[in-house]
Amino acid sequence: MRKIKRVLVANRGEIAIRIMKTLKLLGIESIGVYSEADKLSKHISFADKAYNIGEPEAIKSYLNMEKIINTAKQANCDAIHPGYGFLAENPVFAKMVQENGLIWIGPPSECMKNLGDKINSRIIAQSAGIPTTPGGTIESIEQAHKLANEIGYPVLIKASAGGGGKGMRIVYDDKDLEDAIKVAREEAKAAFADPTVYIEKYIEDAHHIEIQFLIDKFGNGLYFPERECSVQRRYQKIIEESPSPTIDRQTAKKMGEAALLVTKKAGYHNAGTVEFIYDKKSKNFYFLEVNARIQVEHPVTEEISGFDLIASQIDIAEEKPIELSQDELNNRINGHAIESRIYSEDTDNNFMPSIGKIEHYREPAGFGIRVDSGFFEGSEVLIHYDPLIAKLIVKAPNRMMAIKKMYRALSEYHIAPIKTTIPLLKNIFKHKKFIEGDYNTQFLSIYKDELFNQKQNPIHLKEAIVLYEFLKQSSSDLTFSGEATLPSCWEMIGSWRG
Amino acid sequence: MNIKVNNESLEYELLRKGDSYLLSYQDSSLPFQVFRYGNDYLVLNIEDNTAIVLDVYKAKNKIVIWAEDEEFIIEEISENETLSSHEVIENNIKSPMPGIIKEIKFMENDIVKKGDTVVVLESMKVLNELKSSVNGCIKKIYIEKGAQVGPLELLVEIEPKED
Repeated sequence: MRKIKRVLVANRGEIAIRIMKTLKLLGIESIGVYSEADKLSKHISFADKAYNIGEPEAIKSYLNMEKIINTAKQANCDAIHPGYGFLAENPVFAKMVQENGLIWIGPPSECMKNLGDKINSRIIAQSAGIPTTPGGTIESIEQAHKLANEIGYPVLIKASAGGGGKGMRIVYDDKDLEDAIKVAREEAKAAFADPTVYIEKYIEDAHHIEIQFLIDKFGNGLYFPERECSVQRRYQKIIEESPSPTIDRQTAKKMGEAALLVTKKAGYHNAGTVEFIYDKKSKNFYFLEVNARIQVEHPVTEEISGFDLIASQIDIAEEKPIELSQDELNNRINGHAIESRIYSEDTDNNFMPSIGKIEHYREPAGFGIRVDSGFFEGSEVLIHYDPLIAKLIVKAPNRMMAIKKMYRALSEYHIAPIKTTIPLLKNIFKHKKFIEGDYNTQFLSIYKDELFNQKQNPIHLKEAIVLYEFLKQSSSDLTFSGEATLPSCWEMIGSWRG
Repeated sequence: MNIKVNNESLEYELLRKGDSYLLSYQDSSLPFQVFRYGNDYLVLNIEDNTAIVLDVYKAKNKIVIWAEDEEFIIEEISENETLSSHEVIENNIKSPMPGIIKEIKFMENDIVKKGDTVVVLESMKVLNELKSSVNGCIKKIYIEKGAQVGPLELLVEIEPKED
């Protein structure tokens, strides 16, 4: 066993804050890093100390490996937590961290290289007897055309190092393949500093179901109840829930065991997630990939299990054994949890990022409501980084109550003037099919009209009009340019020195 | 009075009597009172004795009001707006949002077809292909690769040409 005393958190936004909160509880000091553009960002205030690591572009700051390691050494850290995104799944960085005498809070570098790489991870899964979706690597454009035709369109082009939908493109036709590969490569390079992409069969009636697991350095492993993450836009999740309304307990158990089988075989330790595609018709599941990191949606699992997964990551990095048995964990699971991702995006305009200052910000609160956010009133949503403002997580005794609670909480989440995913999310949680648990990865496109342009009879319109008039007429209110205009203080006192 | 609520125009009459308001909207007339309520406002329906609390965000030319689970974006109807509603088809390439120019696929004087990708704009790690909406000729390119652009900036001027 070893004791971690000071951790550099190599990330920004909500996940940096989430990690720092747990570090504080564990009595571990946290060192923050920030780019030039993040000088006044929220995560800095949660760190015991914070260092400027460079220019706004991620490649010059949050992806600058040497700079981050030097900062960690300069600040006398003994460990680095990468969060998600940026360098979290970069085995070169993990190796550098360890070579510099620092503890890497994540899976072993060699294992990340094999598993975090989506091509290799499929080979490992196959060798463990777990089915994978048809597909393969791209050697050349000619070979890519051949492979795509072999497995049949539509196909997905995916970043080998990636996650979160970046560097991912769906292709329906041979003629679009080359362009899609090119764009995917560029995106992959920009986001993960690795342009490798591969082709995979695109299953059209699919559910995205994943298993969170923990494995310690002694080979003890635990798997958690599945998370269903089928509500996606641009192949990026916006809602996750656990347990899934789609699969039964027996399938969940099979998936959990499969997840541990693959990752143990790869020599994994620390926290991770195995993603599966579940075909509801055939009731088959296919191994998709391993996310060798803490994931955005980890709070869903925390809420139903009572685990602090960041604390578990640190325990494992400190070489503590997992003492809980799988049965004991199963007995701890209770209730239902859902997460909504609040992105600064214009949902009426093809999810275009909505960038700018958050001038009005109010978070929901209450029993079973958790907000993991990276912003406050006055924060800027920056062009350089992911547009995730916050994650809203609710926990309730059952799914129906969780949905109701989520709808209430979203209604109490007020953000302006930037556009967010909140109105869309509210429509989803009121949608009959979602409430019935009858949805797959096509949900948003199938029910587009109902979800995006829902108009209903307003109930409180009259009150809103009265308030609008009140504010317009209220003379104390100078910020709103209504009829009431008072002269400015300069006009009143006359010119300077008269 | 005419206003736009969530992009739809509506008409109402409002009468102020002391500190209460009489709102006539559609086929009803109701009396209300408004109070400051912490950072919020409380609007009391005097006839029904119902009170609701509303949160407000005020911008230059609009206000956003949250009431229970509803959100109202209220704007005045300006004369300019009625003019601009005659939509003109934009033949030039403008940035739909701030971003960084990753690629310019044509040079000045090149011929473009409708649907051709002219500029690739990177914003928040996603590459957006900005396509020509007309057949035409590239008249002027205002940006270069690597440039950072703001929202609605003119990037490339395209002169439409009939086939």
